Amino acid sequence: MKQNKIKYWSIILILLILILIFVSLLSLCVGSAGIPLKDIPHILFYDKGSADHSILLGIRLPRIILGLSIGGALALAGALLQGIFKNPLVEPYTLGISGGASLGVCINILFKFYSKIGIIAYPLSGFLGASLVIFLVYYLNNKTRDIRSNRMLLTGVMISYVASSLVMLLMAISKTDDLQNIVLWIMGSLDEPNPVLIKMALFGSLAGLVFSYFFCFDLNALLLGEDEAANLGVNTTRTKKYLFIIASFLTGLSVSVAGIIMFAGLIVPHFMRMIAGPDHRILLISSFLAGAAFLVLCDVIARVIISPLELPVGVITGIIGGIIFIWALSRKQVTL
Amino acid sequence: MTHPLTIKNLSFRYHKKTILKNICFSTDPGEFVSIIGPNGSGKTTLIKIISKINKPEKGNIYIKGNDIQTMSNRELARHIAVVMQSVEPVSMSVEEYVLLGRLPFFKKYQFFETAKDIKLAHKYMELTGILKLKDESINKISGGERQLAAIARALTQEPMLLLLDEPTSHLDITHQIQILELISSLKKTLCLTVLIVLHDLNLAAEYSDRLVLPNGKNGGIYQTGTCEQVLSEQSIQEVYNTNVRIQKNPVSKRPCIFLISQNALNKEENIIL
Repeated sequence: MKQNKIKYWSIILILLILILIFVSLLSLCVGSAGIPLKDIPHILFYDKGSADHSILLGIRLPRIILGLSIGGALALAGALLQGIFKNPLVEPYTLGISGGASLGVCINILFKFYSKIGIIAYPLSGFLGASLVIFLVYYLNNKTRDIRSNRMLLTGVMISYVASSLVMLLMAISKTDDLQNIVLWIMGSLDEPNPVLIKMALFGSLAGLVFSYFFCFDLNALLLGEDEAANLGVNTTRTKKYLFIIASFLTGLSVSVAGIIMFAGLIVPHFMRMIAGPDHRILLISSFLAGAAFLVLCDVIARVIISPLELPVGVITGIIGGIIFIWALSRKQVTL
Repeated sequence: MTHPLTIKNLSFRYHKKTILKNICFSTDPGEFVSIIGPNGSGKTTLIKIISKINKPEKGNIYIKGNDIQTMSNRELARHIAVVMQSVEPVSMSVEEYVLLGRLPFFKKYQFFETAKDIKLAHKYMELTGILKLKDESINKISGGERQLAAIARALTQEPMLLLLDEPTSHLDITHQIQILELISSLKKTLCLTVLIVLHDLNLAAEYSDRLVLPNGKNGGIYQTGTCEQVLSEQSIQEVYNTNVRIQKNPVSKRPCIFLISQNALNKEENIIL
């Protein structure tokens, strides 16, 4: 049985990595300037001064790396939150965590914290906003003890509204150049010119993945409910606190670099649970890989669908994710 | 002799209401102890305090002489296992579910179950009769089978003390008897100490070595003792405020409680008058 499980898990991982490679290559080739796959090695190694060379390495490659990191981070955050809240409709966006993070980043842009403490102000403000919301949602619903209820989801949606209203308030009172900054960033795009932020996104999301694995068994036990998890020796209060911190970190990082990208954190873990099963040992890594592939693919669609213009990637994930969200909600049996 | 479980002066309050007050009792190895008593008399709370889900206001609990407040949850889970009223529906297989009982024994960087873990899980699935269901989803099996899976999971923890909180309350008599038979046989084969919350007084009388009866009023204990000592018409009247008749079960010779309708009671009174 153990051999079977390892075999099945390996197959899933290999398939996901193949899909990821395929999608990344697709993203390298496709765009306003189409570059055939067979020409890529030649351009990379022998044609260093060419325009194609700088498109590949200067524009598309960073974009792919960012897409992988953000997609992985959001899907992982979704998987962690769904595990803690035992609700498959929970994700950074529906819980209002993305909203909190975006409010944090907006305040950062307006008050120009980034000019004082450097580029790290972006992820830091995102993280602070995200963790504020996550603890708020949790403690507002903690008293009912019925963490599974959709009350929590509603609280999240409301917090999300409040946060976006506050963002609009900030936009209304801000100066024109700040306003443009905020609007461009909020639309959700993987077009990030700053290499430091891209590196931060990559290593941050990988670090989130590594740390979340310290809690994979605790998450498995939490599937049975908090009391049962405690009976199995899990310190549930501590575990939840750390998982909240990891999820806020991943969300804050994503939102601060790529803006609000809706629903990536919802559908990816949901589908991976259907394919790989509820065991978090495989669910976490497979959600990360699938989320990475999903976002890069959405970015490809966003770039080609009304070419030469380009849609914000958040629009594509919003449309696909929204439809799937409604479908998931209407399914009779939604159990983890 | 160290008792598997000793409770000393335990008090617990919830929203300023006293639930448990100065509870003291202990269990002997291999003993089957039932906690009976009316709703709201703190039975489930007591189980939750022993398994460290709730924190007592006062008093101490010792597992083999060690205070549970000095033990980590993990350490505690290697000594005691808990079966709750029902199992939450999850989409994992019965085998995966039972294997979760090995979690407290996982080493620091262990990622997969060892062959020993799987062997133990299979042994206890066999013992509880659910080995044939091992690939079924917990969602899809019946309530009785789910409780058997919960017991198998608890046994896979290889505890010395098994706590059960009304494990049979949602089940039909076939499964009620099946589960209690299983638990009382485990008590002999594994020398397991059992502390069980039971609502059904007749089942408690049938299987228990000793009963704990809370008084249901101020959080204290009305009486602990053998079934014959605890189950009397007077004690039931005082604790449950209910008029019953008690006779010997014709087969097991244990006390057997008869519930009586008010109508019949009135008639009886008339005859006496």
